[in-house]
Amino acid sequence: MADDLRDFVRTRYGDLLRTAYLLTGSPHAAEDLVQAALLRAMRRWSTIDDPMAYLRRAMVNQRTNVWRRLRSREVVTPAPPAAASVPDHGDSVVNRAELLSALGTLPARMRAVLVLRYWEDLSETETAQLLGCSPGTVKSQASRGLARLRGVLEGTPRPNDEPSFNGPSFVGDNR
Amino acid sequence: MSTEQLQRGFADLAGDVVPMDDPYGRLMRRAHRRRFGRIASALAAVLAMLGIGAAAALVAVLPTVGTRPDSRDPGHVVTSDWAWRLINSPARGNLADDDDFADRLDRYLSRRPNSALPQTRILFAEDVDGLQLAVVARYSATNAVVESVSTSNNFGNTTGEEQLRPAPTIVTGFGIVSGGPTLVLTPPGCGVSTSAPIAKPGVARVWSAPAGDWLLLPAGEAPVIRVGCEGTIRQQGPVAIVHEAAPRQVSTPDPAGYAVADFEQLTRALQLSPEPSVAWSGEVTLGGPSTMDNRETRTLVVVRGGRGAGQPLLCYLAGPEPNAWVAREFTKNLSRSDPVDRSPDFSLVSTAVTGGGAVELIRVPGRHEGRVGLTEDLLVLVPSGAVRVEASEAGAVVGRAGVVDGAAVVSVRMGSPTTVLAYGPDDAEVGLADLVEPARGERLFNELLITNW
Repeated sequence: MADDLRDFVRTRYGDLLRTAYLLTGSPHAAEDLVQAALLRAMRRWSTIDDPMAYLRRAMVNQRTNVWRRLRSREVVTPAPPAAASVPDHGDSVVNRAELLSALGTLPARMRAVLVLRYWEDLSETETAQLLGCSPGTVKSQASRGLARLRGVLEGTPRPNDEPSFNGPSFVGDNR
Repeated sequence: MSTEQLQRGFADLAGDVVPMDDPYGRLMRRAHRRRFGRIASALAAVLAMLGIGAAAALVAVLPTVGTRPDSRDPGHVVTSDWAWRLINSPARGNLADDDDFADRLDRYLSRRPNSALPQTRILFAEDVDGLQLAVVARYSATNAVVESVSTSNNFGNTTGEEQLRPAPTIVTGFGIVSGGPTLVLTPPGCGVSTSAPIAKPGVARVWSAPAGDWLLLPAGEAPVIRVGCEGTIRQQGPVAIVHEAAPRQVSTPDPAGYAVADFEQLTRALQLSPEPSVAWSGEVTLGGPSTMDNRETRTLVVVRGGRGAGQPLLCYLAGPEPNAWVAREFTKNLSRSDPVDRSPDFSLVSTAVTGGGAVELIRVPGRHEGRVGLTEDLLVLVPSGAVRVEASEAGAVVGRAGVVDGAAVVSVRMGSPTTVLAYGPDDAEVGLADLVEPARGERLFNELLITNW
């Protein structure tokens, strides 16, 4: 079992890490996500028929849960991000940064649908099985995801953008 | 965006992602740490069930050479998801993949067991010119504490330990106090930028490009730092202010001593060198009509770096529990002040003051829903001979208070144009001050401060 797992990690770790990076947008979070999924898989390694499918599902589920937990805490602030002060390194970097930023605006499951469909190249049926939903849902999520990415990248405001919030008010804020 | 464009974009993004060396080894080390934590957890549960007598018997058969007693320190409840994100992050630093170092550190940590926080994770490990610095989280499902350890001799000669409150940004090391490097550690996905300690007046700050999610500052450097995470600025301010040790555990609280120590640390980090003196210290009853918390008595200490406008001043408010730092205020320019919030238990709130005159006015901070802000209480420091004070707005008296130990507290609405007069026993005026309320926003020295986790 150990040799089997070692071989699998040696040959497929990079693939998992790239998928995890597209799911998370952060190298550290991706590393963490892959390792957490592998630790989970280790306990039942001998009973898993398709490790890649199992690990993809584990990563998507984990990411969705983490995202839900984080989303409930995060607030949108009016302060612009520091990106404006970051020097440009050429169009490619800007495009990548823009895409990464745009992906960050998507709900986790919608992002997962896009990654599974257009990076992992899974069919609608395979994606639906992995996510535990219908192929129709996958189709609509993929379509909406692409439309939202298009809107964000073209600077079109979304109708359901949350209002800005700058933390709680104190007595002193009404000056 | 078309599917083809997205596929090209995905390929472009993923193209640079390369696994670190030996992913299997890293996985095994992580599994080992996890297993170790579970065993410790289970052992703690067994000990708890068996009771003290049986536990003592069980402990007696365990190896005890060089092992300190179980501290059972519960640490701090972690409510911030960002703090959990940091605690759950993989190790960083040039020793992060060093198995030998990880083993030595594991052994060192196991000599100081804490069954209340059974799991451990190395967050950072770095060799700096022979000094090995590590940051470790000890945690349970709900609580955690972060420890920084430095050694120059494989933990045979531990040169430093510091226990830190688990926060989204950990600043540790010895740069501020004793001249060693200072580490800024943030959750994965964040980036740390720096700027000069003091900005030129009227000139926008110049920030370095984000250096990644951690930064090791050379000895003596104490810049202003900015932490950005996923497109949002989460923290900004002098690194000395972000630096946060756990509350000091002493049996005899010394608010004045702590206030002076804080003052010295802040002014040193900000390259100021005034001579601190306690301007006033005493108990005040706080709680005007719109004050955030219920009426209560607290110890307030005002430390200043000299009289006159432009001198730094710190206002230290001790909480109802010993050493519970509710807030402290600091302003360089006594003619202006600004509210600054930092964290629930150790916060910085600059103050509304008038400086240099016979009467000084200080807006008192308070706690509200776990945050720190300014209250409607105004501490009035008066010259000797004054027995009462009156606050008036547009000629109408809005507050009165008697003087006790050279100070009085009146309730004054925030932002109102207020004049405070101090009177002697014969109702003669002995001093006055106009209240100068600060600009809006969380600022220090008129610079933006951010705590947005």
